[in-house]
Amino acid sequence: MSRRAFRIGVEEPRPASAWTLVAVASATLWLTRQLAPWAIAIQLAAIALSYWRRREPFAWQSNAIALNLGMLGVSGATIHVALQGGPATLGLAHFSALAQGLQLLDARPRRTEFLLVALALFQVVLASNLTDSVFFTPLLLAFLFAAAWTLMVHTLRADAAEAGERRSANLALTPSLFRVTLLASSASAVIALALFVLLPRLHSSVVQAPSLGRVFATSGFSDRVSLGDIGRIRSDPTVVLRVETLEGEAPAARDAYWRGLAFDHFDGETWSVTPPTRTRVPGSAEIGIWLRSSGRPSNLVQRILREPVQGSALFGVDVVQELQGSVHRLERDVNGGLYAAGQTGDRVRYRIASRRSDWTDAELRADAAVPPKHNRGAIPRARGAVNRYLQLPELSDAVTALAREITDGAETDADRVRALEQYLLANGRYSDAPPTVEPGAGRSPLEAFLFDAMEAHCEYYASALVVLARSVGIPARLVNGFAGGRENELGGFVELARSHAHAWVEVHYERAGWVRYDATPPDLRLRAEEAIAFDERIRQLASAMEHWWFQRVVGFDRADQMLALRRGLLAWRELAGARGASAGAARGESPNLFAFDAGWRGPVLATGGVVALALLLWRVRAVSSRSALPRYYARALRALARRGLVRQPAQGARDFARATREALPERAASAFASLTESYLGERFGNRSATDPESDLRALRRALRRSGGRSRII
Amino acid sequence: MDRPRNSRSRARPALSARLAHWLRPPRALRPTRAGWLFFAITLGVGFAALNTGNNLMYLVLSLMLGFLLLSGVLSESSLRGIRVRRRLPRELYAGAENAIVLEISNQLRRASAFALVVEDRRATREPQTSPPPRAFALRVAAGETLYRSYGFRPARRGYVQFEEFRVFTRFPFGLFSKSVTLPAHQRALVYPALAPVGRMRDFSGVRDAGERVAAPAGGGADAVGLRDYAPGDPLRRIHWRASLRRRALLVREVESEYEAEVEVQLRTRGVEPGERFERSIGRVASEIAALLDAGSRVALRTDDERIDAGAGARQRARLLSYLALVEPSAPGGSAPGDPVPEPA
Repeated sequence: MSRRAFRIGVEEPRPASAWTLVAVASATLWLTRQLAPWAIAIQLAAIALSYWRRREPFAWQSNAIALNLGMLGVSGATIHVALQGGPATLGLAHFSALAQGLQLLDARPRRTEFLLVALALFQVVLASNLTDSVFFTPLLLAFLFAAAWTLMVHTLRADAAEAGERRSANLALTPSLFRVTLLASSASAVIALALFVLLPRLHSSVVQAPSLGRVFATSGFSDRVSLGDIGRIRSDPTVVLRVETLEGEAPAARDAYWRGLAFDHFDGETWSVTPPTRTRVPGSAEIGIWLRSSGRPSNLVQRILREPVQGSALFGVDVVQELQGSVHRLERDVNGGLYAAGQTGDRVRYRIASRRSDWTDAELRADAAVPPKHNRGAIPRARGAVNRYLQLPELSDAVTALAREITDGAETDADRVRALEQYLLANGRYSDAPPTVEPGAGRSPLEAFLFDAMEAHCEYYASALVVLARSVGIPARLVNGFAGGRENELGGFVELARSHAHAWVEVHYERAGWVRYDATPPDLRLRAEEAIAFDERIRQLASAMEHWWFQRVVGFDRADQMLALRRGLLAWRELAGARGASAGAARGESPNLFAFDAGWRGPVLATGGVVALALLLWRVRAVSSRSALPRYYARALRALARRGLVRQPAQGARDFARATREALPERAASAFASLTESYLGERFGNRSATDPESDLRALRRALRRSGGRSRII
Repeated sequence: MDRPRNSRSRARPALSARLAHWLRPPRALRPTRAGWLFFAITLGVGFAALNTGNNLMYLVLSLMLGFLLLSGVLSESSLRGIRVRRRLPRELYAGAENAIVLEISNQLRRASAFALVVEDRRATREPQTSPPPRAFALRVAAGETLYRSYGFRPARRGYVQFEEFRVFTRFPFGLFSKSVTLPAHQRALVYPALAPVGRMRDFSGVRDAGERVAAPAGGGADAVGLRDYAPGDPLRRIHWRASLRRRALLVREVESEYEAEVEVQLRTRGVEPGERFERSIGRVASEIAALLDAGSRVALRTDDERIDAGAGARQRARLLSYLALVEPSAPGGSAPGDPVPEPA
């Protein structure tokens, strides 16, 4: 007999932790925002009702027919949800939520509590597939503890019932067992953290769970952008990029540009990439892909967390040379734009090594603006057709005349481009509102912008600069992406919101390649920021936590795993005294792109510290609670002995208290009796109902007041 | 003092047995139904995590594995410090309910043990139809010793071999039934079943071969010493003053020159082993016990040997021990078998 099943049902009401367990598991599902409001309402009602009637349940709660009818209702509701056309997980989520509510209402004797725990676990597993909220982990930890205590209570009660000692179960459920469970659960969570790092990651997935459209992708970054698209999203503070600089000097906010896509074709209103074909970049982004060499080594390594973006474009500073991250399939268009194909709705985490453009005007003056060679033959050119970086929409001659007028006197291509840029910067004013075009005026929006108020947002300035540059034979293209950013001091990264979306221009030089120009006048967002207010601090903290969560947990992959193991090995070797050339060399050889930062160290140390502190407190409390009471009792005995009341060697504590009752004033006797009971309680049951210190104080006070009115017994 | 029923088997076990013992894992772990379900869910979540690469699923999987580990650690802490001792009664009788006390102690300094079920396993030749006797302890605090008892009703006389304790626990979560085997070899002798004896014959004044004329009961006996009281000793022999001094019951040992001396005979030759023989042993044992209780000196004669007359607890143990082991002898030869154990 191995006691593989509980034979007798537990009749006692469930512990409160069972409701905590259900509430926590339900909360993980609520985080996903996939449960219908009526389902949440029913679930909450079931939790509240079952808790309220846990000691005196209604008769129907023990009636099998009623409960089976309830199960029928749950099944019906699940079918109803499933027939609405949602994914299967949605129906399962509703089923588990409702079935768990019913399980809580079931007040019949239970042989096992595992069904309740399994349903809760099922909800948590479902939720893990439907959310990546930062609140998932605390809920999971609460779930762990609640499940542990619920199962433990049931096991003890079931075993006691099988042994015919139902009442004795409660004697075992002591506060010390509760503390041990808490401690053991915490230890278990720490072990789970280690397991999380060590469990093997197979990046390629066979079955992809259907995405439920968790977040709305940022628009304005597809391969076809109309004038005004970026302007529309500039009022939205939603964060799109979080950028950590791992190596190199991060650009200041004024000079920080994260390049997205480049556009070569402009029809007067819409920019596009021609042809719109993309080619797959060979290699595995998970391991790292070498993209191109500009002849100069990379001088900046950054780790970027990109929120869902329409078109799934990837962003980087200037010339991206290497890329590594959670990109399943990396694609590149003809203008060098990078895409995480098929990951429009996903958060993408990647590292890039790039070369910041640092050409001086003097160097550029010595250069010549010519179309790139490798792109000259990219498009079949018709007779008389121009290069695509010199292509112009149908505009009035006034535009060309304006360009010539501005560049008149400039000796080099670089001077001409700078003159055009300065013209726009000097004469334009930034506005999120596009210029109004009167219908029937026969002018394009760009002409309206150039020849009227010259007040618009970045797309107009960038488009105007490209058109003006092309008008004087300078190859240029429009680039969109993000500029500026907001530094998160707590998290040590730069946040780029939709409001930081920007468009600028790139001009191609023969030697320097593509060089950035920005003709947009600085708007208010780039001016000096005010001192950070408290609510901003809170927001930064939340953002930093979210960033940590996404970077370290949600985005943890095989590369991180290998790096963590490598770091651990190096740390171990250092600890083992193997400091030396080999370890130093190993550190020195660590590629910058894949450098594992110390982001884990803080949380791990903090967790260890909390656990150590809890252990220390527990030990101190345990020691003090063990030692204090006998000490108080001994003091009481000494106080009584001074009054001639001496406890004889063969006299029991309770007998002595009884004997002193007649000799002591009433208050002193009752205080001593209470202290004696506490003392005996601790000695034999580890429980103290009263405060022994106050009892001792009361005894002394009463003895002082009574003077010498006691007698020797 | 030789106590055959408590003597440990000192024979060196065979190599195969030692090897089997050495290879046996220290703990036996068997999942409960809930445990199997938990395993299945863990495997499912593991497969899903590997399949999708979803790190939150990995997190759930890690916590589930951590939960399993936690279960293992807590159950181990429940079993690790447990020691069990068996306390047998001085006399065990076939067919009677004998209370066997188990002394369950937790030798760990900090961790309590929970939900323990102790099975006391015996070596039997016949397949056991009923589960081994069990005792339950819900909580054994660190350093604490608990006493639990169970009723043991041996079916027949002779030696009974206790082998080991198996201590189970389903603590903490009821996912596994973990057990540890604690060897506790102990051999006990079960006396024949005693039955009530009718009105005792009065042997006073009866003169027969080998018997002496008895004086009035208790009269004229010389005390030759004191010894511990044993069940069955006449109460009138208790030396109350010495007992009070020692705080333990002491009885006078007397030179019973005037007490009745009775020889009880048991036929062992020419009889078949079986129920009839067992019944006759039971009758003889009951008679002997009653006579000794009445203060008589009792001798036992079988067809093969004779045990000299004696009185008191020592003689009772000697005779009952002999009867516990006696077997029918072949016609014309002395009965082989175990020697008559010396009583305590």
